[in-house]
Amino acid sequence: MVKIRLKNKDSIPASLPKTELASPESFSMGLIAHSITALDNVGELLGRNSYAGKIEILEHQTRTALHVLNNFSHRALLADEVGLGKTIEAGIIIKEYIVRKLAKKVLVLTPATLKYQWQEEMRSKFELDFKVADDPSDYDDFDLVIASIDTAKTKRHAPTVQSVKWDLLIIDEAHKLKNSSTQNYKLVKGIDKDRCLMLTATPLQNNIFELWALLDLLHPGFLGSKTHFQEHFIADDQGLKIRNRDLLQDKLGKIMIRNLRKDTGIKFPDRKVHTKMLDYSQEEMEFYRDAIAYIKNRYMEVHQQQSESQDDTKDTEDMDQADLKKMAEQYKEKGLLTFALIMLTRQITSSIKTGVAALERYKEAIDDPTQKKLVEDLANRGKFISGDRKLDYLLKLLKKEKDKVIIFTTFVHTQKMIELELQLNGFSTVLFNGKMNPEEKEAAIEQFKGDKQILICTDAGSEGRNLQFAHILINFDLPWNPMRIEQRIGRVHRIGQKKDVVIHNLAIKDTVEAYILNRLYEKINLFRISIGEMDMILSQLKTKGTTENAIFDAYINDNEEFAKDLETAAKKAEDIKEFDTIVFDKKNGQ
Amino acid sequence: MDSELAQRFFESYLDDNKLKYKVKDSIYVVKLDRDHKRWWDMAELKCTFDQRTAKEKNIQLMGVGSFIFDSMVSKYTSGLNLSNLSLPEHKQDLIELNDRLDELSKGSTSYMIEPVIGFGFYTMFEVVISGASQTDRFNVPLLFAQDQVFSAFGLERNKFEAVDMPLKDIDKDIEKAVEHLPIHLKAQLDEKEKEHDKAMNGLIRIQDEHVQSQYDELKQSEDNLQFKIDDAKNQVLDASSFSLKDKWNRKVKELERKLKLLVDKNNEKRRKIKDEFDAQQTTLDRRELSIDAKLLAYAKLEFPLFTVKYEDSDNYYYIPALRKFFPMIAEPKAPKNL
Repeated sequence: MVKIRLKNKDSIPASLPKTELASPESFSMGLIAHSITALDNVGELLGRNSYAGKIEILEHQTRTALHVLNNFSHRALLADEVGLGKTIEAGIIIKEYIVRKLAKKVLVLTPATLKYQWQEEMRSKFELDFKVADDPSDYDDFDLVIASIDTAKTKRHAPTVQSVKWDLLIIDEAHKLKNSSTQNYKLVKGIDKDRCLMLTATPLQNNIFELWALLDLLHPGFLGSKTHFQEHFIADDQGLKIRNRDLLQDKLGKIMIRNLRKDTGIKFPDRKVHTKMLDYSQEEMEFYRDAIAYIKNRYMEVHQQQSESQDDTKDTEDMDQADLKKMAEQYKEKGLLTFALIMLTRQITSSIKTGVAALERYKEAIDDPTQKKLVEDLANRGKFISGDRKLDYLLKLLKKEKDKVIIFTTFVHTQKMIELELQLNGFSTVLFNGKMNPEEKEAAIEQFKGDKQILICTDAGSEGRNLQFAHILINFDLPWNPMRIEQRIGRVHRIGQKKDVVIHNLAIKDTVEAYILNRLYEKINLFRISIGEMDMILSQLKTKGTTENAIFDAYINDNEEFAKDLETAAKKAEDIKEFDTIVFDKKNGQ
Repeated sequence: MDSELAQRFFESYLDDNKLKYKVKDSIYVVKLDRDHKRWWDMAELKCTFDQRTAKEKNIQLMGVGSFIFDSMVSKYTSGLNLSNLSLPEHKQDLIELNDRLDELSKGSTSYMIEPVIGFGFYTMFEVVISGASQTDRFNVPLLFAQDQVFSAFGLERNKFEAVDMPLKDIDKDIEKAVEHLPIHLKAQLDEKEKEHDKAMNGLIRIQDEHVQSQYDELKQSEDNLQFKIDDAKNQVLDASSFSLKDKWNRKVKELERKLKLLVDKNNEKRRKIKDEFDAQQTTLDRRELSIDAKLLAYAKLEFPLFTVKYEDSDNYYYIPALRKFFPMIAEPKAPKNL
C-alpha cells in the first residue's frame, strides 16, 4: 500500500481554545468553497502532445502548470528562482488555456529586451504565433499579442490595450510593478483581464510590503488590506520580519509558486572563470591614455560649464520660459555628450580599431575647430597602431579549442574585426547581431548548431537565445552593466547544459575594463554568484542613473562611492536572500 | 455546481463581510465597503445568478468563472478550517428516512428505527496523487463516528451550530484519519498505481531504445572500419606482387590504427551516453507515485442519526445530514475521549 504524506502536518495544532475556532457560518463557507474549487479539476495537460517532442518538460514545470490551472482565482505569480524555466511554465499554461478554449485573446507584457525572446520561444516550443505589437491596431487585430510594457503604456497604445478584453494577461519581470504610483502599475491595473499570470524571479527585493503590493495588483483583496496583512503577518515596521509563517505560506501558496533550485533536483553545472589581463604595447598604451585624457577633459569641461550656469541661475522661479528652455537644452546636451563620451571610452577599450572608427564619427559631430583637430590627430595616431593584443590572445586560445565557442563583444565593428581575423586563420565562424532579421538569426543559430565552430555575437543580438549546446564563452570586451554579463552567461548556463561552463574574460591592464574587473565586479563576485542574484544586487543600489554613468564617473573621477555602493548592495541582497528563505522555503527558514 | 449552493455561498459571503444587499427580481444590489470597492474596482455590485436576467438586462452574471465570485471563493480556501460543531435535529428527518427506505430494497421485511446522537469528527483532505503520466487532485470528506467511517460528501449543505467547547486531541484524530485514507482510497490508488507503472515502463522503454540506437550507431561505425580492414587483409593475400602486398599491408596497419582511435573515441562517447543515461535514470527513479494529503477542514461533530435494524440482521445507519444509508459495521456506542 502506498504511503500518504500529510503535507501540512506541522500546522495542525493538538488543541485549540474556543476563541480560535471557526464560526459555524465560516466553517460552512470554507467547506462550500472547497467543494466548489474541487470541480473542474485539471489532472493532465491536454496540450502536452504539441510540445513534448520539442522540449523536455521537467516535473516541477508540470506541477506548477497544474497548480495554476487548478487555481480557482485564475491569478498566479510564478516566482521560480532564475533558471528553472518560468517562460516554459507560462507557455504550458497558455497552451492549456487555449486548448481547453478558456482563452483566446492573450497579451504578454515584457521588458522591451525580452519581447522577441518570448515570441521566439512561444513559436518554436509551443507553436503559438504571437504578434509583437508595433501599432495599436495589433491589439484588436491579433489574438496573441506580445508588447513591451514601455510601449503598451504610451498614450498611443494604452487606450487600445485597456479597451480590449483579454482572456489571459501575462506580465514578465513583474517585480517592476511593486510601486503603485508608476505608469506600469496603472497600465496593468486598468487592463480588463479574466486570467492573469505574473512572472518574477525576485518576489522579495526590499521588504514584504512590496510583495503585498504586487499580489494586491494581481488579485485585489486576496491578502486583505495592507493594514490587515501587517497585523496578521508582519512583525516589524520595515517588513523584514514575519509572523504566522505557516499560515502566510499557506495563503501565499494559493496564489504564488516559488520553486527553488535545491528542491527540483536539477544539477546546474559549475562555472570556470579565466581572466586574462593583457599588456598594451607602449604605443597602444600611449594612445589609450591620451584618448582617455581627452575624454576626461571633455567630461570635466561639460560638467564645469553646467555647474557654472546653474550657479548663475540658482532660483529657477525667477527664470523665464526662454531661460528654462535653454537650461533644459543644456541638460539634454550634457546627457548626450556624456553618453557619447561613455560610448567612445567603451569602444576604445573594446579594440583600438573600433575606437579609431568611433573617434572619426565623433569628430564629424564637433563644430569647434580646435576640438576637431585634437580628435582628428588622435584618430590618425590610432590608425598607425598595428596588431591587437586581445585578438592575438584570442587566436592563441582558439587554437587549443576543439569545442564550439561563443565570442561576445558589445560592438558590431569589433565583431567584424574578429570575424575577419578568425577567417584569415582558418576558423569557421558565424555572426549574430541585432541588425539581422529573425530569419537571418535563425539561420545563424542553425549554422552554429551545425558545422560552424565559432559564433561571434553582440549583446543585442544574443538576447533571448538559448545556446546551451555550447559551453565555452569568451568575453572579448566587458559590458559595463553587470546584468549584461549575467545575460551573456545565461545563454549557456541554463537548464540543459551538460558540461561545466568555461568563461574567458579578456582585458587590458590599466584600462577601464581592468578597473571594472578588479575594483567593481570583484566586490560582488560577479562571475561566480548564482544565476539571478545580479538583478537583486542591482536593485539595492543607491546610486542614481545608469550603471554605465556611475562607472564612468567613478573611473574618470577616481572615486570609490560606486564601489562602496555595490558592496553594500551585495550585502543587502544577501540579507534579502535569507529573508526570502524564511518567507518561502517550507523545509528550512525558521 | 448548482446555482443554489453558489447563491447560498454568495449571500453568506456578503453577511460574513457585513456587506448590505437587496434582492429584487433575481438581481442583487450590493453596497460595497471601502476595501471591496478598491478590490473589485466598482462602487456598487449589481449582479444575478440567473442567466436570462443577466442577458436581457445586461447585468453581471455571478457564479463560477466570474472573477468576483471566484475571488470570494478563494478567500475561504486558505488556512485551516477548525471548529467544534453540532447539527440540529429536524422533525422531517424521520419522515425523509421513511421516504428513502425503498433505496435499501428490503421489501416488506420488518425493521426497527431508533434515533441516536452521533459523536465523532469530520475531516476534509485535499489528496493529490502524482504519477508519471498525470496528477489527480480531489477532496475527500470523511465522517468518523460510531467506530465507523462515512463518506461525507454534501455535509456542507447543512446549517451548523457552535458547541461551546475547546478542541482537544486534534492531532490524534488526524493521525487516525490519515491512516484510514489509503483504505478509503484503495480502488483509486490501485488504478493509479497501474497507470503509473504502465507510463514508467513506457518511459524506460523509450530511453532504452534511444540508448541502444546510439550504441548501435557507434558499433556500426567500428564494424564498417573492421570490414575495410578485413577487405584490405584479403587484398594482401590476393596481391600478385611484393610491392602490392606491402602497399596493402601498410593500408591494413593504417586502418587498424584508425580503428583503435575510433574505438577509443567511441568508448569515450559510450561513457558519456552511459553518464547521461544514468542521470536520466536517476530522474526517472525519482518519479515515483506519490500521494500527498493536505488537511483542509476538521471539526468535532455531534449529529443526529438513526439506526435501522432489519429482521434479517442487515443493519444500517441513516445520517440525515448526508441523506444517506450506510451499512452498519459496529453497534452504536458512547464515544470515547470526547
